[in-house]
Amino acid sequence: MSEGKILVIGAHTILGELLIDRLEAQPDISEFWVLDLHAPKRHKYKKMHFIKVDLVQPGADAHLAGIFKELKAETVVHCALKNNPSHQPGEAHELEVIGTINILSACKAADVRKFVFCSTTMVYGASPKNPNYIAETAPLATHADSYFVRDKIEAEKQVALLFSESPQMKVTVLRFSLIVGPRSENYFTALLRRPFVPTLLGYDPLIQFVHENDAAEALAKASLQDFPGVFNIVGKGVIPLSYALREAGKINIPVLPAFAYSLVQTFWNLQMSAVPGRLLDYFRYLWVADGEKARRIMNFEPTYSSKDAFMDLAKSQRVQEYSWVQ
Amino acid sequence: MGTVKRIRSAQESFWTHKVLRSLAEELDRYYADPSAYNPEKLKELASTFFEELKKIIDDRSLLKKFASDLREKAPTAFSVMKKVFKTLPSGEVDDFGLDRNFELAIKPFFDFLFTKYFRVDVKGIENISHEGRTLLVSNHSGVLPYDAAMIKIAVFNEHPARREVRFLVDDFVFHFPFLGTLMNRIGGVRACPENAERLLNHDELIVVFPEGMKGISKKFNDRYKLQRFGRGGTIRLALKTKSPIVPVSVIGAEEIHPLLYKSTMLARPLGLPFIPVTPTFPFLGPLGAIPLPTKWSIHFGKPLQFDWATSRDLNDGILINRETEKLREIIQRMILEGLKDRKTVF
Repeated sequence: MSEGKILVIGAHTILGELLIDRLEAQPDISEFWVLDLHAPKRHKYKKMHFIKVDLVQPGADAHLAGIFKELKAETVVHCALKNNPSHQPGEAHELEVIGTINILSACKAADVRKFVFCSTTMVYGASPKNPNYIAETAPLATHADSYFVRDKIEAEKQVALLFSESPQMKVTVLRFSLIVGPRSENYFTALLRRPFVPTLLGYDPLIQFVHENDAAEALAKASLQDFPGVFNIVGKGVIPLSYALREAGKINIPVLPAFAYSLVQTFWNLQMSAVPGRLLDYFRYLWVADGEKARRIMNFEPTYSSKDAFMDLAKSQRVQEYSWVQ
Repeated sequence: MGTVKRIRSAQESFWTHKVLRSLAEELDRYYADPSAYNPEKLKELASTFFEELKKIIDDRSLLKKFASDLREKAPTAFSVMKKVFKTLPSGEVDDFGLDRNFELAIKPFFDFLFTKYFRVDVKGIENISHEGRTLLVSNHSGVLPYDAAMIKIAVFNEHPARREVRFLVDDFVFHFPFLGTLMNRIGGVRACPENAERLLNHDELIVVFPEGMKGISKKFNDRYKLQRFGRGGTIRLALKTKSPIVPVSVIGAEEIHPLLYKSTMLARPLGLPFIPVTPTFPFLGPLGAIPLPTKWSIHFGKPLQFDWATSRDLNDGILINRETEKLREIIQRMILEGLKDRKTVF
């Protein structure tokens, strides 16, 4: 266990929230710092110090570097990344890419010992040319249509530069598959909030989930111990999309793929769809990542399989709907 | 009138069931302790039952009712089918997307092809080990990949361990609706080194067709002439995972769709590798897609071991090339022997 000050950037994303809860519960951590626009409101955290920071403001990097230097920060965990595709791609780009660049230059200036970055397995892209289990060494889908995925890849590229530019810094990149659970909110859980779910006719890809507890476990592990490198954080096994929808009690509406992209994009523009049309490839082709490296090096063993994680999500959604009716 | 009669017949039929049940109960009692049992009661019950049965057989309407009652109780082919279809969308897939329930549900069709249509003879099934990683390497032919399906069925039906064969499928299949999903659910994965390696490391049995698209799109003139074996990926895979290779020759698949001409230009906009022209396709439309009922034989050869491989051999292009050529010659020889033994195409 490394003794040092831990800074968490982004308190309102699912991973940030989970990590803060973990750090609060960890007995050997006396205090930690959280940087965001607003303080987390979920609980009264006793060990937490909150610092208000705007990542996209001009001069944010110098401001951050000042904070890091003043605190003598040892570990910086960057969770301030979007879970969901945004209707304002410009703003999202500012936060994802420029925000990350600001943090990275601040880390370099303040000589931070360790940097942890939360990414997603979506960066591999969904394609029929993917192997069934994608390893960390696979190339990223730089040609992706979706702004959401392109921003993530751009941010990852900036982080990858760190490996060569500052070899003394311990850099960990965690790529999470779809995070599901009672607390998580992303485009997939939003999709399941409706009774009817459109699917692509004739395509039934295998999908992979990671439960939020497992994701938090992995993130806490990476923050408290040193595991430099890139790791896929995924649940065991896969389930077909059709099976997931059936288990959740959803009625799927098969749409011809030729029309689906423009149709869903229209619905997205009207704010009536949880996903933009450009993200539909992820409901069509394989993008399942291999969690073997995290198992081997980080000793990370997910307690929930993909199926169990999904079942937990379906259960929590049913309970929520029930309490709404009440 | 009719209603009264129907009620009476129902009652009588019900009564017959009651007698039948009490008869069964008495029989149970008799079976449990024969010495303490008085057989007179059983005899009496049996005689009344047979009298009732005689009555029923004489009256046709009663007989019909009785038969339908019995059918409801007994499992029929229909109820079994219903059960199959209920479990069909099970969604329980393994790590590579194979859905065993779905596979079993569609297996009867391939069993029909195997036993009745192509009448496949299987030789040398004992060359496949009962467990552990194994790489089947086969010739590829016949425009549509029936040979992969028949190898799969051959191993499943004839091998005592009932091993599951996985096959590696060309990329273009996964672009297509239904086809990609179907292939995945019956055990196909995309043909790439990562997948093959992973399957072998899981001690699976996989079949590869190193000729690839060149093999399946051979013209009828070139039948049973093995094409080039890719770029040695098969041997590299065997060396890397140290898995034995079982050479396989499939005889009969070349003639199911005699390929006269293939158009690659017309196929490009459809995303297909080629459009075949056979004596029956496209002239007979969808009927032309029915394969000719040739007589098949599948021969599994002696396994080649690659335990001796070191990590240095993986980079030795010349060695890999030599081993590939050796394997190709073995399969070509097996094909020629098979053709010599064959009496007729059909």
